[in-house]
Amino acid sequence: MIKLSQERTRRLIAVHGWSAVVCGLFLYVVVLTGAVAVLVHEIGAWSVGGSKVAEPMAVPMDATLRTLAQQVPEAQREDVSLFANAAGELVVFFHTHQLNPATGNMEDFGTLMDVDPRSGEVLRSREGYGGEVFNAGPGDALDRFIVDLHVNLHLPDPWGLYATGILGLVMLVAAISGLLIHRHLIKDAFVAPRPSGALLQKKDRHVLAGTWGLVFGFVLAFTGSFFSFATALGLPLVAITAFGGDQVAAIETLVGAPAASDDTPAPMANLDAMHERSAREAGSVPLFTSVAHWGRADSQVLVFHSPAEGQLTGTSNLFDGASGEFLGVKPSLGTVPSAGTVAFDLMGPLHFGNFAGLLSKIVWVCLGLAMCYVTITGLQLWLQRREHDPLWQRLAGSVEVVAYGTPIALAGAAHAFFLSYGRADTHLWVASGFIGFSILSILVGLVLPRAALHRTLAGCLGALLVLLPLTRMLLGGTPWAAALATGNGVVVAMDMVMVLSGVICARVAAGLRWMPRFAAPLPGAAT
Amino acid sequence: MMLTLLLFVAACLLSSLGFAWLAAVNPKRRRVYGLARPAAPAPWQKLAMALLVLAPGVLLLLCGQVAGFVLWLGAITVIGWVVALRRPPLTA
Repeated sequence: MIKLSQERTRRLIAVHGWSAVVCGLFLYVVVLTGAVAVLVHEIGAWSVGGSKVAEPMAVPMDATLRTLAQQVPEAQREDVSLFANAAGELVVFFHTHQLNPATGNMEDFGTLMDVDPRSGEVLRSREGYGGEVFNAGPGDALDRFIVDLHVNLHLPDPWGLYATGILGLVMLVAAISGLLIHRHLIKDAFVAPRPSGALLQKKDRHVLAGTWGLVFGFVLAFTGSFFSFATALGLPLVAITAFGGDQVAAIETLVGAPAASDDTPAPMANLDAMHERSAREAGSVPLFTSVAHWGRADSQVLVFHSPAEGQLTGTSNLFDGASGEFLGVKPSLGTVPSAGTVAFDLMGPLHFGNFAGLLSKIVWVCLGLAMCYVTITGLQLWLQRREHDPLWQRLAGSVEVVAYGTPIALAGAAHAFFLSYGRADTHLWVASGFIGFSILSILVGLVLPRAALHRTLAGCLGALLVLLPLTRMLLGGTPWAAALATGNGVVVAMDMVMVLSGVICARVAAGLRWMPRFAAPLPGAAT
Repeated sequence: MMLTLLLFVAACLLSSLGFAWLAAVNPKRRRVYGLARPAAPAPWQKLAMALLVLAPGVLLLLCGQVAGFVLWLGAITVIGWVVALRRPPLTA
């Protein structure tokens, strides 16, 4: 129990409430899309009908890479990035670094190829700056749209990152002020919503969810703000304060100085052998490989791995590109392992929840949805306390519209993706689908009375979710039997999640209680 | 990943039992729902409840399952919330 004076408590309640009211709806959009984005890889695989190969980065690729290197201009062989996309294809980006006249920044420029890992066939190829060619394939549209909505609300850099970073800080403020104003945190941790009136029930539900979600709300908000501000604001600030504005010196300290340059031509060592050794060292298959100075004596290969069984963070192994010699584990920050490296390494797994496969992702989705619940019930509580003020009642309608409208628009974007995949520009259709269904939700909110809004929007969401697997399969998506036969159970699982979520929404729309002991108790049901 | 899964599920089940026990004897919860208030738990019962909730996490750490421990931490906040949110049967 934290004791505060009445005046201080009043001030903190005002900070807690107003910060949520001003930013709550945007915060809800960011948190909801974050909870969905935890499953970004699974959504990507589901949207394109599954992965061609279970572990594309474990497939031998040395010969393919050597052939591809001959097909790109010599200048673009400076560096190579290698990873797998959601469709199970290898993505190979041969690139150099040059000034992008459009942004005024030094950027990667080169040729990006989507390659079939089994045959080595180039499926798609595009040339341009990194930002233009990465995730620009037709199969990347849906998962990329969701991630960008979460990361920067589709605002231009760096403003989008600033906006989501500030929302993360607002969430931190709400969590800390909530902790301070709730005097009986431990005592009330097991008090179910009381059957004594709508306002008290709403308060109990908000406080209960907030109490249990407090620690992870804090963790998700802190790590999210870190990711938003680290590159957009943090690095330039560190460079200004500690390195007199020299960003190159700052980067050299943070990631290490580049090895001495030696542009003598030298054949590359076998990449498959390096991958094999790296997998043995790390205990997991490679996730991402970066080759610096392809075909030169000073070539280095850095192989990134996801965490091994039971571990929280992954590792990066460094190899000499010309000899294939294992040079050791490369810290993700600095040149030697440190407490800073450990703290930095923990940010990713704690925010993305991707350290133990699907299991950790499911837990993180639940935590994200719990945060959405806290945000919406907090807003509803604030508005219920002002139910006789017409100005606040207009906002009450918009809470319903945003709470249901965001998932409706996401489901609409998924329908638009399936309609356009293999037929039209998927990126344009996904964005149009999202905007179209957002406008539709707003119109429903404007036309319908508030009493009918909740059930109507829940019904719309339920219908869109239930229809998603049908749209997917009717428009040429992989059927369940074929998906299971090729080891793509994720496609079936995602379809089932959509149908189940849709049925729950439909039951809400029909006014049916699907779990009576979790529903709001009737006043007077107990004394 | 199978070992992490098994240890995680076992740890969550034990902690869930601890939460259910804590919820069942919580005096404020019982008062709110007008349920009979049993005698205050004996010290050994309090210790058993605390052990049921917390010991699985410590055991995960002792087994070197850092990932399992963080997963368990995340999962018990959701499980605890669900246990608390579920109303007690009014006939009890």
